[in-house]
Amino acid sequence: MKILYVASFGGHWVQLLRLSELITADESVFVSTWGQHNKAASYYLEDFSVRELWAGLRQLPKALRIVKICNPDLIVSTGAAPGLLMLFAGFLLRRKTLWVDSIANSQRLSLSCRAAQRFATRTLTQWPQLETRRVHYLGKLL
Amino acid sequence: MNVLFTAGTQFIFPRMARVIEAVADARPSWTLVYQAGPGAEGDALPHRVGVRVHPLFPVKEFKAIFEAAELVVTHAGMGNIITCLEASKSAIIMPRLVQCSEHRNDHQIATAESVNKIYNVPYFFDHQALIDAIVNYEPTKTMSSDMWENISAERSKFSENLNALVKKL
Repeated sequence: MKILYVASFGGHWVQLLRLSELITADESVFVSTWGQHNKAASYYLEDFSVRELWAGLRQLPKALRIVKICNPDLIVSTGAAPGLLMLFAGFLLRRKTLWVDSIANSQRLSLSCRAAQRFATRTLTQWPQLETRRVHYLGKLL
Repeated sequence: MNVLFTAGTQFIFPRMARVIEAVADARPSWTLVYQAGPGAEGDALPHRVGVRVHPLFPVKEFKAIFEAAELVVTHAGMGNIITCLEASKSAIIMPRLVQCSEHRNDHQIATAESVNKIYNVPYFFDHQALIDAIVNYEPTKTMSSDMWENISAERSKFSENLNALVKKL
């Protein structure tokens, strides 16, 4: 099992690293967003907000390329918008995808999560009270 | 006392700079360090000599500052909160608010309330109440030592469920 992990730098990235320690995989590859202090990933996307649709779609070819090069069995993201873009690229290339919404969203699912549930193979929340028919709760990082 | 303040990297956070100035005035002997976030300038910086300020400390330096801190005052960003909880570091949360143009939405209020409910980390919206809490902070009141046990237990349950799910996909 080869897993491609994706998150923007900051809190999403911290959660992604913790999450990757919990999942058994033969190989893990990391994608993040550019930053002066961020050198831990193998591939990078420019950061953007889920509301900046153009900034995101402009990077879709790059996201598709990363998925093709890495050829993962599963793509996992904790957010934010760049993770959503990679999951969408995975969806287009018929890969399995998993969205784990940030533990910061304790009262409402994030906008990216609500978008992800439309095409991701599985969508998870870290708060049981936010479970829906399509978004499930399997536990949390804290 | 050694206090680390961290503003996060999103928008500028002048309210936190004002809190730092007040703490510096009330406790001139304390060591105060502030990671102000990229783009912080002018009003977003504390104007007191002796406060060590940097937009974003290099990772290694930040780690050393974090370890030396007896108290961390942080915006309600999950990265800092997770790091504090894992290290059983005493922390106080100051959520960024939309009404002060400090974030895109008010999810930091929800985060602060949730973390407070589970791990009893205090949080403040009112900046005078926050200043009082910092200035009167007693280092003896450390976080519960079984915190890491709670976190580990949550994660091993989560891990089991995640691996079962991944196998099924």
